[in-house]
Amino acid sequence: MRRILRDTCIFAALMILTVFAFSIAGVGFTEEIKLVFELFGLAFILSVVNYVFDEITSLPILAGYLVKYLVIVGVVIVFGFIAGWFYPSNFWMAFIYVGVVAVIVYALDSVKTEKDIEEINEMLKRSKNETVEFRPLIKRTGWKVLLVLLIAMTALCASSVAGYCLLAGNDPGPGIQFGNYCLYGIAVSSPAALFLMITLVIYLTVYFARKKSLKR
Amino acid sequence: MRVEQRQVKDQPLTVIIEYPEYDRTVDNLIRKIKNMSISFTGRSDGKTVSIDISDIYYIENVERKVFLYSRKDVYRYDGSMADIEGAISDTDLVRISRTCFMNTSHLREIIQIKNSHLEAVLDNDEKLIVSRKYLKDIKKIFRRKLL
Repeated sequence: MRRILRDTCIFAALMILTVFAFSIAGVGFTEEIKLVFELFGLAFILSVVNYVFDEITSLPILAGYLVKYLVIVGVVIVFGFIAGWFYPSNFWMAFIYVGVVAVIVYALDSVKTEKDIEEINEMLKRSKNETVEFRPLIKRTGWKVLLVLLIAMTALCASSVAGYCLLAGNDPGPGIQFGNYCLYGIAVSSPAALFLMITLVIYLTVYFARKKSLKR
Repeated sequence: MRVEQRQVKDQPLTVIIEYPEYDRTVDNLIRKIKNMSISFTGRSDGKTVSIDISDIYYIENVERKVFLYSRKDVYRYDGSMADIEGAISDTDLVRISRTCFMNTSHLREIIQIKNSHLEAVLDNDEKLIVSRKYLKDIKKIFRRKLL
């Protein structure tokens, strides 16, 4: 499944690049085409930063993600100012955009690491002909990480909804501008909350299915 | 399993394995025999010693010096980590961080400690820090072992 998703993303990226490259010949270098190429440029820079960071550091998962988050936010802000995406009044939004992506990646990484460790320990025991023990839910950390992040994203989404209702609902004047920020908050936190919830449900479903099959 | 041995003069040491079907046991046996022929030369207390790969628990690079760790002893290795990496393909040794190789045949378990670091606990109670990005290489070794 992971391979299919990865291949889909690569294929989609190649299609977008090809279509937009042909469009340059037809309609010229429009703002939309410029934005797409800027996004690809940013993705490339971030991939290089991520690779170099992983090569030179060996921090624990959480500390690694916190430092990486700050570094990537810095890169996005600098790139955003150069590309004209950000202004002094709204550059802080990079913290939210990158933060939401970081939360999702951290959650997936935590779950994957836990799964890898469990798989290695199981294979180790099987190679020594020892009995493989099934770890109960209370001893697992993946679902706890997912739950904490899901609560955080739901709270962010709920506060954005509440803020929008309070600011934009009654005030047609300056409140609208702040109401738009709340809409951005809803736009980034609600898909993240949904994604985390789906991942948590899949995690628990797989856990109980494995538990049931082992009992048999 | 039947074990036969015979002396054949003027010939190098030769091991012939006969099997009815190639299975996990045969694969493990062949790998163990192959591993026996790989050794590293280390120095300890001024003496030069040859250490079988199966006796090595882990190999660590500390301040650009490479050390081989057996169950109880430590030896200085004159080569580089790149030399070791070239010699250990298809053995039980695997890279677990930028500065360390671990022998998976002496691994007891991998645990995630509270500050989210990963630790490999060896048979001699030694603990090594494992980098997450090398977990897939460790998995590959065990998958090969369980073939």
